[in-house]
This record gives sequence, structure tokens and C-alpha cells, in this order.
Amino acid sequence: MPCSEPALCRAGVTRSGRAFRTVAVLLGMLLCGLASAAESSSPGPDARLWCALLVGTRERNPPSPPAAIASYLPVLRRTFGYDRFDLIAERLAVPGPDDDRWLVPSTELYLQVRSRPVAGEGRSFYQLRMFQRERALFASEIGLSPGSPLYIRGPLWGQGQLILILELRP
Amino acid sequence: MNSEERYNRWVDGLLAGSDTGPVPPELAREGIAGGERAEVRRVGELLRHHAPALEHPDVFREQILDRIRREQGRVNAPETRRGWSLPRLAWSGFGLVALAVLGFAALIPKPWHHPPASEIYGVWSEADRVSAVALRTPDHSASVVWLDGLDYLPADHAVQ
Repeated sequence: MPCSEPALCRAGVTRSGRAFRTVAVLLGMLLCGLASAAESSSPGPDARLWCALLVGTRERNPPSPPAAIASYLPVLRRTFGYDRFDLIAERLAVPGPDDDRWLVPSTELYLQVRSRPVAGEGRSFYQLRMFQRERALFASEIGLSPGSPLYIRGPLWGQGQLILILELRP
Repeated sequence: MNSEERYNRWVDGLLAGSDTGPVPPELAREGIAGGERAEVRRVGELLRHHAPALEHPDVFREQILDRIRREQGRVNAPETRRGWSLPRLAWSGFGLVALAVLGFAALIPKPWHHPPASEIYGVWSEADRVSAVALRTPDHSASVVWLDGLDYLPADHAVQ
């Protein structure tokens, strides 16, 4: 049987070669789609940060915690050893790369958050500085991913302990 | 003398009594017509005229035959690859399996896949007597910056 496309046959391109090229192109398109899907799963630079200031205390029969922190209770109890946790303040913000954002501006603790202009591996990156009034306490470089909060053990306050939760929200 | 030598001698007019006569019966049986001799002679004249400097005609002939064989091979190649040949089947199977695996990876939800946990890349204390340590909860579900040495705040101290 003569070749159905003489031009291709003259160039030495056979049917199986064309089939292989078609499969390769389809695979390439699929891989590109997967790569873009993986890329889009990384939080963008405008990801929102939720920050909460809590106080943890010991109490035999603690009341139910506020709904905003109920899901964090197991980790809070296990990590900090307190029974009761009360929400003092919370804030949702989008930290920018150049301007300082002050999360949970309590009269005592200030958290300065600057976003880093990179994102990858499903994380957003930030530079943190924490102040107690005008006194700088610590600085940190962190990568936050949704559903994996960062806890900061603050100072003792009365009979309890101040705790900060920082979490990336979708 | 085989038939090819006999044919060459006939074309060159060396076959006894055949230069002007009819085609010898043994060549006629092979389908050779009388006018073919004149045609072959004319081609020979042309070749001698246009390629007079050929020092090795055998090599030239071999090159031509080789080229003819290659041309025929190209024309015949697609015909021999008709249908589901083994390489084509193998490539098609590989492509289908690869597409199935990639489709599974892209579309099927993966309950075993956990998003990456938050990470503390570095923590530095900026105050005297304050230590800052990065910790991970035992189940790696959360990261903790553990501060020690902070000033105690009395209960009547307003934090909000």
C-alpha cells in the first residue's frame, strides 16, 4: 500500500513515528497541566494571616473554648500544658513586603510581620519580629502553610500564659 | 553464456546474425522487443556523451544501483509497517499507561497526601536574658517559638 502522505514518507516519518510524537505531545501537555496545578496550590503573596492572642490557665473543669480556637485546643493542651484557653484578641491581615503589619496590637505584645516575595512548596514566607512594648524580643524567618499554625509562647500573665497563634488562611 | 551476457551481446550487435535480424527466440521469450535495442543503445550513447570521464564505471554503476535500492526501500517502507506492528503496539501501550498514571495522579484525590507543615527557618533572640527556641510538636503538626526569660506581667496589667 502506498504511503498516505507522500511528503511525510519522503521525510522518513512513518505512522508509528507520528503516533509516538502525538503521545509525547499529549504527555507534555498533561505534565504542564500538573505543573501549573502544583504551582497554583502554593499560596500567593496576598495570602491572609490570622493571628490570635490567647491566655492559657489551669482549671479543673474549664468551660468550652471560643469557637475560633476550638480546633487548636488539642495541640495547645499538649504543647503548653494548660487546661483553659481564652481568646483575648484576633486579627486577619494581608502582610505586605515593604510595609510593616502589626498583628494583635495589644498594649503589651506587638507582632511585626513582613512577607517575603517568594512562595514555594505550598508555603508563604515571612519575617517576624515580636516586641513587648518597645523592647524587641526575637526575630524569625518562617514559612507558613495553610492548616499548619505557628505557636509563640509569650510571657506569663497573672495565673496564666500568653500564647500567640499565627496561621495562613486560604 | 547466460541470458544477461547474451542480452548484452545482442544489444551491442555481437550476437551472430542478429544485428539487423529479429530478436533471437531465447530473448523474445523473456519479453524483449525489437525496439528495445535502439532504446538501450541511445541511453548508452547519452551516458558516454555526458559522463565520458568515468574512470571506474563499476563503482558508478554500484552507486546508481545502491541509490535505486534505497529509493525502492523508502517507497516500500510504509507498506511493511502497516497495521499494528510490535514497536507501534509497544509505544501505544506505553503512552496509554503513562496517560493513565498521570491522570490518576492529577485527578484522583490523595488521602495520604498531607500539605507541607509550617517551618521555622531561623529564630534569633533580640533581648538580654530572653531565649528563643524553635520547636516542633511531637506529631509534627505545628511549629512553636518557645520564649523563655520574659518579664512576668501581673494580673492587673492590661494586655488588651
